[in-house]
Amino acid sequence: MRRSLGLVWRDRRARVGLALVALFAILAALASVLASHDPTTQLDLVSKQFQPPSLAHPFGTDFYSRDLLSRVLHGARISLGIAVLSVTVSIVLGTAVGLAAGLAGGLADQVLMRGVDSALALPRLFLVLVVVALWEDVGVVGLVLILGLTSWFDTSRIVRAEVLSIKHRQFVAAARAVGIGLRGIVVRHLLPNIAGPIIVMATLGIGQMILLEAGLSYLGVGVRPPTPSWGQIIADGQQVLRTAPWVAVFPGLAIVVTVLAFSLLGDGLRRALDPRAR
Amino acid sequence: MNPLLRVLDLRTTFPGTPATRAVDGVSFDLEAGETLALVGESGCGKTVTALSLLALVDEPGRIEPGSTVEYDGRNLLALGPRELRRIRGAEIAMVFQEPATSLNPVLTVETQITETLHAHRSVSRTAARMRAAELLELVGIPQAADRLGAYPHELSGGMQQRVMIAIALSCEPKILIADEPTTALDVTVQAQILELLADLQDRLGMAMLLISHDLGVVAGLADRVAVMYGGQIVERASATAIFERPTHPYTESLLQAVPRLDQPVRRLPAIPGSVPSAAAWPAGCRFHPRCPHAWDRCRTSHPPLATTPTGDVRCWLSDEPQRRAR
Repeated sequence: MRRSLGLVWRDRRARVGLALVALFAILAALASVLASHDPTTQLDLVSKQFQPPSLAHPFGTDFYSRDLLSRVLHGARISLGIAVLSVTVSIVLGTAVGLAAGLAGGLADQVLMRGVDSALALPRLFLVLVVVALWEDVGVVGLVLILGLTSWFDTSRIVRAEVLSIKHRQFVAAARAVGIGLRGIVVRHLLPNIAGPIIVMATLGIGQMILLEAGLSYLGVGVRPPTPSWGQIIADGQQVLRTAPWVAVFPGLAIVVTVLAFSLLGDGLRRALDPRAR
Repeated sequence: MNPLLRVLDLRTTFPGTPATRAVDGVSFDLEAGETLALVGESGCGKTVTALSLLALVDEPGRIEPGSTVEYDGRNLLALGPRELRRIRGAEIAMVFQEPATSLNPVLTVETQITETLHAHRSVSRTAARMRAAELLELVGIPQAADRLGAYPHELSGGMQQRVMIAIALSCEPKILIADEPTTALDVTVQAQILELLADLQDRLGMAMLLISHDLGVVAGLADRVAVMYGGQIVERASATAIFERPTHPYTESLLQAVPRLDQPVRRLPAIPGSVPSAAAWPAGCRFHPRCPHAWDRCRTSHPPLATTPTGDVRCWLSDEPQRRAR
């Protein structure tokens, strides 16, 4: 494990990714300390509306004269938190279902995979919108669950396919021949060999979740205002993109950099965990 | 005294139309400490026999109900998964043909050895680590302690096979099944691995079922030899008897196909044809289409495994030796 972490650090791109992810995590964690203003306080609706970036307000202010830097910092907490947690839910669930289907085979596999196929046939945003619409006042925990529970389908397909190809490899037979039980086979032989694709899916998933949450908040069904999330802020800025572009640009940049950072980190992790790729 | 392992009427089939009868009524005994070699061409059922002994045949293959593999008074084929796991690796271990694919590419050598130890014994991490180093030394890996952290791809084929042997021996099994242990290796490395196997067997007093298509490999190691053809044993005798006085025409042809140092260089005779498909064994003697001696009886009637003074042989020639074509 320590060796793997060392290898992540040795990879330049992974190091950049790790540094950026860590930076964003720290900024999100310390948002209340770092932010100069309260993210929801309206400073002065008359004189402080739509201030362009300045020393006092590095990211400018919005329609309600709120400090955008403070909003983006607090938004990181919401956006990153929702993304990381919902991806965790989705990866754990998708891996579990994929493992079960791939290992069990037969009828169980058929039932699980046809279910997944049906779910995949529905557009994800539509699926999420239906659930959100049926659920009054979602809240952050609800949003995490909804996003997580509607996005594990492709993970389970990929994990199942990997399990099917690996469970007939000779080293699995060799492990069984020396008396390794099902749990040992799964934990030490299957999972480490499919860790690469899972990590890639997780890191790409975080990017997608941030965008999906942004989309939902933009549509007004995600995080409720005035709680700031990046998608929320972009939605605010969209109407004034010509006159006050900074409102949407800074949270947009934050999303781009975050997604990129997770991709770099994921790629580095995948390479570090696969001894053959060294 | 009962033998250590007694295989009776082992039949393993794979469904299809018609079903593939890969192993079709194989019986043999393995005594404590001895080496029995199972010899035959590809496709004659050697590997499936080996896998069947530990009930490792993958779906959809199945071992027919009448088969028995008796070890220590118990029929292994009737055991539940838990009990089977306790036998595999601890009592009977197996080394596979290709070390490169038999080792998990993403785990270190240490993890793969200690995994087996932890599965069968309650040992601490430190003790397991020390035992792993000891085992690597036992199988002749230099700087064993430094190699514990190595990944399989960092080792040569010979070293990988040594690691596989170390894993198999980690719990001091009574029986080692070695399925073509040297086939994937260089000739020089082959000799080293064979020497190692013989030496370890002496030191640990275990029995070995050596599976090979290579009579040269078998000659140096085996006490007894069973020749397989068409999913069945066609000849079984002591190694000396097999090499000096082969009785079955198939065994004879196999021996003639081995190059010899004490004879002038000549073109090696090949056995005409190839092993028939296990889904459609020929009627009568399964070897008759390729046999130089075959006559009508061989084409219609299947010979039993008959006992002779030197061993057992499945050939009508043992009834009618005058039929032997000269």
